[in-house]
Parts: sequence; C-alpha cells; structure tokens
Amino acid sequence: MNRFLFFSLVACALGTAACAANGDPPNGSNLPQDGPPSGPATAGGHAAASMEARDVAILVLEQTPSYLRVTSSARRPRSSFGPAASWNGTGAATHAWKLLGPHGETIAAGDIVARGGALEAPPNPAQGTPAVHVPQDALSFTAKVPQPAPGETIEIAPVSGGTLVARWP
Amino acid sequence: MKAARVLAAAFAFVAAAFTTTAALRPALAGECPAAAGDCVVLASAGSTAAAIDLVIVGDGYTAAEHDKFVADAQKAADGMLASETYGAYKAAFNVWGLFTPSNESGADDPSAGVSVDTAFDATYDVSGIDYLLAVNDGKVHQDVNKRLPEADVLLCIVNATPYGGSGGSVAVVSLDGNALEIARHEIGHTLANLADEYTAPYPGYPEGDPEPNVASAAHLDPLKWSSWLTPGVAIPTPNSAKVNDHDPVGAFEGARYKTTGVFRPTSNCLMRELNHTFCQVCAEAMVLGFSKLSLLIDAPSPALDAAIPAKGATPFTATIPALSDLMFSWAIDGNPVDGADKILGVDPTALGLADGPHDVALTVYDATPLVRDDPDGVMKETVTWKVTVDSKLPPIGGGGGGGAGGGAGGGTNAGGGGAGTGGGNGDPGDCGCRTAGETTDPTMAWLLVGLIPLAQRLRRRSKRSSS
Repeated sequence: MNRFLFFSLVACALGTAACAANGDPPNGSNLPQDGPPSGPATAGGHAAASMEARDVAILVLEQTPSYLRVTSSARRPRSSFGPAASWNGTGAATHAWKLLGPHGETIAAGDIVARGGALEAPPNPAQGTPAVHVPQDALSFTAKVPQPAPGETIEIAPVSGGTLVARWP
Repeated sequence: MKAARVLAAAFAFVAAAFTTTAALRPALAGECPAAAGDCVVLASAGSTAAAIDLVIVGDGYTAAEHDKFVADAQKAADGMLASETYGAYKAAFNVWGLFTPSNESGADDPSAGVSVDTAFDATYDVSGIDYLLAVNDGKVHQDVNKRLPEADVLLCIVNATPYGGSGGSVAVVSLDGNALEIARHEIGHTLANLADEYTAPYPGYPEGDPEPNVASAAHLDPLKWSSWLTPGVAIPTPNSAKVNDHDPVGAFEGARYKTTGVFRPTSNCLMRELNHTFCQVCAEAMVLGFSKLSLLIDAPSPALDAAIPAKGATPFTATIPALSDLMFSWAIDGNPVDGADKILGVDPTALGLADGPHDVALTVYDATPLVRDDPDGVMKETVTWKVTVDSKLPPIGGGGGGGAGGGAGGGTNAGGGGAGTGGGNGDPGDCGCRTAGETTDPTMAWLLVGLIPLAQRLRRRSKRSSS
C-alpha cells in the first residue's frame, strides 16, 4: 500500500514536471484571465465565441504610396499564441482590419499598430551620434487576424483614410 | 487535534515534495518547431503561448559562418536579458535564433564603396547617415512568418562590426558592443508604446502625448505618472533639481522631439539617451507590456475539468514563470484556502467536499515593485478548475485499504474547503490543502516524498482512533 502511494505521488510529481518542461498544456493554454489584451471587436456574442474558436492567420503586409498588399500568410492554432493571439502592437492604431462575411457584412474588426514609417536611430552620446529619423516610402508589418472561413475576406486599410486597401485571401 | 496536526504536517510534506520536485527538473529545454528550419533556442521560458517570443535573425552570415551567427545571437540574447528591466523578466522571454545564410559576409556600406550580397540587404549609410544601419524589413517579416509566426518581437543582427543600427518594424543592430542599446530602446516603443524623450526635431510627427512617459503642458495635473512622483517635487521640475538620472521623478521639460511644452518623468532615461536605464515610469510600462503578452499561469494540472477521487490529496498546479515577486492564492468553491504556493493538495474528504462539481481557483499576482499602477489588471491571473469529486475513483495513495475513514465527512462541506475547516472528523485544522515553503535541497525533497507513506499510516491510525 505504501509503495503504491509512493509511486503514485512520484508519478504525479514527475508528470507535473514533465508537463511544465514541455510547456505543452494537456488541455490547451487558453486560460481565463483577468486582464490581458482584449480580443477583436465583434458583431455579437455568438461571433465573439466564434472568433475565439478560430485559428489565427498571420499576414505580412507591404505598403507603398501606391499599394497595400499581403505578401505572406501563415496559419496557427490560437492556443499557440496565448494572450498575444490578438495583439497587433501597442499604441495608436495605424491600420484597421475587418473580417467580412460572404455578403460584405462585418463579422469582426480590430486594430493594427504598424511601426516602420521611419527608421530611427536614438541619440548615443557614447558614440557621438545624434538622433535621426528617416521616413520610409515602403512599410512592412505583420498582422494577426481570425482565419477566414470559405467565402469570408480579411480587409485591411490605413486608419488615416485614402484608397489603399488589402484584401485576403 | 493531534491527528489533525499530524495530517497537516503530512500534507505540508507532500506539498514541499512536489514543490521541490518541480525545482529538480532540468532547465526548460525549448525545441524549435520543425517549420522553423535552421533554428536555435537561445533562451527558453516556456510555450510560445506563455512567453514573449523574441526572434533574432542574422544578415550577412554565410553558410560557413553558421556557428558565428549562433554565437553572436546568443551574445545578443544574453545581453538583452541581462540588462535592467528585461533581466527582471528574463523568465517571461523565449529567444529564438533563425539562421538564414547569405551569399556574402558583412553589410553594404555605400560611402566606403562596399557592396555585398546578403539575405536581407543590410546596409549602413542609409540616407547618408553612416551609423544608420537597416535591412529590407519586408524580407525579414516574410522569412520569419514562414518559419516562426509566433514571433512577437524581431531583432536582426548584422554581421558587421562598425557601430550602427535602427528601429522600425524590425530592430537592427551591428555587432558593435554598444549597438544592442538600440534594440533595448526600440523594443520600448514596440512593447510599451514608449515615446522618445529626446528633443531632436522630427518634423511632421503627430502632436499629442498618448504615450505613458510624456505629458503635454495641459496634462501636468494630474500627471499620468503621479504615483511615482517624488514627494514635494516641483512641477514642472527644474533641471537644477536633478540628483541623478532617475531622482527625482517629476516633470522635466523637453521630450517627444520638442524642447518645450512636453514633459518627461526624469532627467534621463533609455528613451532619451542610450547607455542609460529605463526610468521608473518607463520600466513600469515595459513590465506591463511584458505582462500583456505572457502568462502567469500555463499548463494547469490536472485538466481543468478533471474528475478527482474523494480520498487522497490530488495536487493542483500549473507552469508558473520563475519571477521573483509572485504571490499565490487558492480558493475552493469561492472560499480562500490557506495556501501560498504554486501547488495545492486537494483532499476532498479532508476538506468535506461532497461528490459532485467543485471549483478550485488559483490566482497568481505579480507584486513586482516595478509596477505601481496596473489599470488593466494584467499583473494578476486566475485559473479555475471545474472539477468533479467522485468517490468511486480509486483513492490517491491507496486509501481504499481497510476502508478506514471511508465516507467520513460526507455531506458536511462546512467551510467549503476553507483552511482548517471541514474534514471527516470536523477537527479544525484537519486540512491537507496547505503548501509548504520552497525547499531547495533535492535530497531533502526525496526524503520528504519517502515520508508520505508514514504520514498516511498515521492518518489512518488517527481516524481509527477517532471513530
């Protein structure tokens, strides 16, 4: 009996340690949390639940004065991101994304904070180098959005307005 | 009462053993996903879900310089995670190195007539500024997206030694020992929305003060960093009040590319000049940024909807980052439990929990002194297990032998699992749920595990005597 207890506890402890070592939760890692970043705005509660169940599409976008387009895409389960699943940068939004339904209706929407409109080198007195900012004509950034279902489209556009818009897929 | 004390001690031993067992495990051995290709783990804090994923790519490394890239990337990762503020949250960072070979070594330097063929087109002398070193960030984003799209922050190290670097959508640094300062500063923009605090003009930059470390003249009362203000400090704060970089915390004029009308918290800071550390206000913003992207609780065990036996202590735990100021609290069915560690042994019989559904909740609070204001509540996380107590399950620890104490406490639920309440015999303190303090000696840990059977025997004996 005691031996059984001993091995049960050892196995349980090792199981706990192994689970921790793998960093791979046995039942997913989307834990309920008090205050992580909010998810995408959605059209309703049902849609919100739907978004949480979707995979994440990771899009690379390229923007020039004449176009905004998706240059690369990847897909991962939401659980591989944790609270970063809907994180598209911190600060004032530069772009907005929408998930559009088959009839053009907005199913979900969110913001993107793209850095890269200028190259920066901060001042470094140790090097004798002053601060510089050099505006860039081309801008690349990554955005995480809900994976569209067949018939749905992701639309991304600068919040500053204008005619540039990227649609995917 | 004596039995209760014995039981409490026994379960404290159990908890200590589990705690120490966790400490016995080898350092987390992160593995690169297969899709990542030529990848090396430079620092591992946990799953990509739980940690901030900093990806380091290299440019200007030929295939023959693979090992040099790994060494340089490791040095950069170590340098980042050894620096102030980042270092305090080292346990929240995964750092991955992705190798992409270039056809030639080094970087372009047009003013010196140097042109080389590299994977990401690294070049000094952007816009005629010799230390402005940049890459084709679109190529970097696309490469990383194919291989490790879980990346949160990108850093490109360029295989060239003159000082240089830049910030944009990808932080770029040369191998100069001082260049990594640029990355520390740039990631402050990326993760914490920190403003530049220097005053060099930036024509066309939007007006305002939305960032956490700057305030316009109209927003000096109250200041957004009022909880950090040095008592009695004058607002605005004259430069003559400076004691050192970060003392006092007040409102010094000059920030966000303007010499007047915009204020910063301290005399100097990494967001004003390189080779300085983050001021208190910027450090707080960084930690909040880290916390928004990482988990305090990952991989809960047992499963969140587990069925647990009525008899014996089921250990509840999770993967918790090794941060220095964490506080733990537990509750069962909404009632606080006297446990202050990351493992809780839940013995339903001892706690008076009847068969059926019960909630076990773990809350982890990061009480770091680096944060005074947490408006979004990101420094605290709670996970709740929705467990089912099932007396038909085999008891943990083989408690079925002889049936001693079987069924005791059924239906009483007094205290709902609060420390020292409930239990088969109703004794206060007969609760096996507390956890003990950390034990760091592995030998002692296994000795403690060995004592568990003895504790169990004592428990059975005490129950027989009480019945």
